[in-house]
Amino acid sequence: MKHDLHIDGIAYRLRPVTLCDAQFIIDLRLEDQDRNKFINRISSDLESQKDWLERYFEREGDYYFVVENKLNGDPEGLVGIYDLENSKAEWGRWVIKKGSLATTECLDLLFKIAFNTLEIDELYCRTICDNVRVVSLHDSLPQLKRGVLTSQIELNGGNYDVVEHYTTPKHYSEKIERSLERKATLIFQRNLRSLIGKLEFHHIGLATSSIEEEFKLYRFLGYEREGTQFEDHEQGIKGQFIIASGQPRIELLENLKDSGTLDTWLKNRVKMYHFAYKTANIEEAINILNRNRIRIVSPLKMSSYFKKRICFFMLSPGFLLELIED
Amino acid sequence: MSEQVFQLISEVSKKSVEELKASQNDTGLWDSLLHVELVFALEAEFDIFFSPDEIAEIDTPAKIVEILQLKVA
Repeated sequence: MKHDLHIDGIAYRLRPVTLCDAQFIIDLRLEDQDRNKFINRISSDLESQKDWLERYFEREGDYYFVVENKLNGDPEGLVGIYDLENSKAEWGRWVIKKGSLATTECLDLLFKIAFNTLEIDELYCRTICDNVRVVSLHDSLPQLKRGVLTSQIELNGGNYDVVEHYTTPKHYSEKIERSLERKATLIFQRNLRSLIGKLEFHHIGLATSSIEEEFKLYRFLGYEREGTQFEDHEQGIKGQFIIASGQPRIELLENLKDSGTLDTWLKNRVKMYHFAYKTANIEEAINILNRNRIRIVSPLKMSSYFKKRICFFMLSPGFLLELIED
Repeated sequence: MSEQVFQLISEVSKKSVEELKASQNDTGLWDSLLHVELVFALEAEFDIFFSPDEIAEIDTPAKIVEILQLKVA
């Protein structure tokens, strides 16, 4: 059906399939001969695929999704929820591009859409018994297993026995969700590293009304100066980096005379207001953050301290992310 | 290196080293969720980074050893 369900995870998102995805569907489903033994054979003809999609758009209770990489916007898989009846639905049409790491988060997002958005009580899937690798995946997830149904699927001219697995909202939240979310976070960090290299934590920025007064307090925690105080007239601040063994580097910041750069935070008594990371590919990092709707608040400019380009993003209301070119 | 790789695949796939060696050219020894875990484990153990093509390619123990020998050499 023509639905508008979207869900964003950390590394991937599910979005509705559109007519423009017809060629992607053909390419993906014909990509792997081994896998094709266990899925419905499709034609490589673009018009036939478009016809299929037009018929799908008319079908109620059928939600077909593209799995999209949030970092680069590339489609990497397909999955669907269909035959929705009496608060139960089947999921399938599941194909992930070879070499993609989308499997884990795709499953997590699928369950979240099914149980949180569509409020389904049970999501089941049927896998041909001979498809040992996928049966094992459902077992190890772990989904609940109903058993073997004989001659349940007609595929490419033959009848096949299938294993039926199912998941309920309770089973998902107790046995599956945390593990999938944890793995999805690791995959996100890896995907990010593959695009921009290492994103290395550098410091926490603190707004102060007096660097020297504040530094006295941090000395209690073992902090000492790293270098000398600096002034950045373009940003309207002066700063002092301080370090301590086993503790994060801190940048103490103070408004320059007649500057109001830090006023918002000082007025709201917010001290910790930014995290800073070093990256070798700052342009690509900016593209990625933009694609993920994280708003840039200060475009690339030369830092008088680092002698490298820096920029700031609004990570959440009142909290900034600083990128420093490495 | 080969022994180290089989040991690592064994830990991730929960199959014995002997079983893996006997079927080292077979695909389907682990599912796609375990494949992701295997990629992470291999990258951490050998301090390397697989490209998407390599991730797709390393679907048997023998191919993992072959590609690692090229990358780590």
